[in-house]
Amino acid sequence: MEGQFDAIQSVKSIETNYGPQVAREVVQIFLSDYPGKIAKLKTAIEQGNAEGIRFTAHDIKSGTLSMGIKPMSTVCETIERDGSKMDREKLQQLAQQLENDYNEISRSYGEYLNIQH
Amino acid sequence: MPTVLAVDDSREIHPFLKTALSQTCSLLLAGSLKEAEEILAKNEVHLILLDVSLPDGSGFDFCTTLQSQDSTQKIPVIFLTGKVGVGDKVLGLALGAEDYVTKPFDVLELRARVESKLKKFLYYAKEETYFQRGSLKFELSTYSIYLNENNGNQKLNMTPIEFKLLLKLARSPGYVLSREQLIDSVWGDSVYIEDRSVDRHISSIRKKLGTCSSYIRTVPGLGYQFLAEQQH
Repeated sequence: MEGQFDAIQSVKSIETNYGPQVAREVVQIFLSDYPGKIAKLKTAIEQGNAEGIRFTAHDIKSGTLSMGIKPMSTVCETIERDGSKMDREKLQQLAQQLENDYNEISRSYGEYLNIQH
Repeated sequence: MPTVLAVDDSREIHPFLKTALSQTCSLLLAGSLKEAEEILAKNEVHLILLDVSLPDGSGFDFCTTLQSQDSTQKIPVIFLTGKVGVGDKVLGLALGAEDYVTKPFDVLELRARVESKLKKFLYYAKEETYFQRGSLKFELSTYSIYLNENNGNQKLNMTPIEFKLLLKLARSPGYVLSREQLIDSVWGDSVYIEDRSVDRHISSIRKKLGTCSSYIRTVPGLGYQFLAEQQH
């Protein structure tokens, strides 16, 4: 993951602004919905579906921005803005980076949920 | 408490919105434009928070549709979106939105913006003293309905229930409202009213409407529809 992103800190920030219950709810939605969203993006890239790529990248960008997950929102912003000019290989590379980021963040979020229990 | 409809397909946004606005309004959530349309047909909404990219269409197009319909054109729209480009902001405001807020939003800022627009909307709503639909004029302060014909205004002798039923239908021209929706709106959901009771009231309203009785169309198996605008 580019830069120093502290996933636990991002959840703590949600806790501070919205309370622990919202932080927990948002983390659970992230863990349950994002594998599907990333898979959808990969499928759209595989099929060369430009509108699907743009829409899904925007969807993930929008959600991760609100959750303060900068590394993922930055990757999606790049895909949304410049995806139509990229070849499939480059898009697949970015989608893989997105998935790696998700995997790393989801591990931290999993720990967060365990600590909360 | 005013009602705000938030149209956003990202489930992760919903908990933020609920917390941000829980003390300001009653919040209804829609994940698509279709759901939003259904909610608008059944509820009195005072403000709409609208995402731009939705699974079944564009929030920009939906805003244009809202502006073109009598029943929704006065509802203030605030775009709440991840589209941060100046061009998008200008387009959103040019389409008639009251405001354009980008994600991530600050909870206090969003609340302040929503409260500000609600205050303005509710102030003007209070100013509304009458409502016109086709040849019918609804005088809201006195629960009176006037039929505008060649020889001037004729007051129709409606009961308060009939007034509320007809107003509810007239506020959503073209929309089919089920008997259940009409019961919830007129009597509230804590009272048991039979569907046939609605039919009896509608029948009585039609008689009193005289030449305008065709304003109310029965949609078999679904409910009733107000059609004044298509016919006049």
